[in-house]
Amino acid sequence: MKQSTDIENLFNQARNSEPYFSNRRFGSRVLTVIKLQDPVPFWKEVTIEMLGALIGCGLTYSFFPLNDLITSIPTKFVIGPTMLMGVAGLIGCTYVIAYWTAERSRL
Amino acid sequence: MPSATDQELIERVVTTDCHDSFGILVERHQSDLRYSLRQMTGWNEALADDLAQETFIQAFKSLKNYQGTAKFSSWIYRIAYNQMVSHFRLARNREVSASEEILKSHSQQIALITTSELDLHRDLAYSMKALPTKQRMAVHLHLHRELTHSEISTIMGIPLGTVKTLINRGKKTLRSLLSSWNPEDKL
Repeated sequence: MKQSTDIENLFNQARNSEPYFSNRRFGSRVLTVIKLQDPVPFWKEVTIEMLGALIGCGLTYSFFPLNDLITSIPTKFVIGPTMLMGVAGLIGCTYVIAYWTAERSRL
Repeated sequence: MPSATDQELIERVVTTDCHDSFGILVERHQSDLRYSLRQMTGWNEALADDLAQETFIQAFKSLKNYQGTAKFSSWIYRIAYNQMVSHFRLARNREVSASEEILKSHSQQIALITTSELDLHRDLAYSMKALPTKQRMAVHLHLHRELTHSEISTIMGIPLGTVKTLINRGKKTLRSLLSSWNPEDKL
């Protein structure tokens, strides 16, 4: 470098001979990623979910003997002391198991 | 549509979410940006293209925030600069200080490179790598892209005085690095 302007000359030459990079692959790659990341609009998401739920409900209703199940449910419950004790015992056992599992996993 | 201005295309993307319009914007600016990022990364083509891709994706996401006060290309460069800084920070890429020893070794390497048929662009990119990221960006935008100090200040988000200092220091370092370059032999 003889003069300070030689740096500028070098950059001028680089600018004048700057290569052009083809957009073909690069551009399509960018747009593909953008399309993949493009979030589904809220209304579209809700509509799809509602449609799915409705179809599911319709299919279940047509195949599942819902009326038979409803009639098989007893209309009256008699809660006696034995049953009450049983339920209390069951809840107690569940609580102990849950507590033991939680404490063990913390260790 | 290809004759539409950047501003018109941006409006189309923002209002109608038109990917094709954004595709035209990418096509218009990708080559310049990819070249600049090659200069910023020591001609690391894969890294430069990854950063350019991330820049355009980020630009698409933030297009609604584009004010239109600066040129679209300047806005893109600002995003690219931030991407580059974050990348180097994450990669814990230590910026090479322009110490005498390093300058000497680089000068020797450049002298070796210029004896082969590697082109000016790669040699420039290689020598630019010796500059810290900020200096590299400021020098490239000023000397290659011919942007004003004010535009560089906006892109890099630094004061005008700092831009001038960065450019002067960068030029000084490059002058030492490229002292063995003989354009008459190679160009």
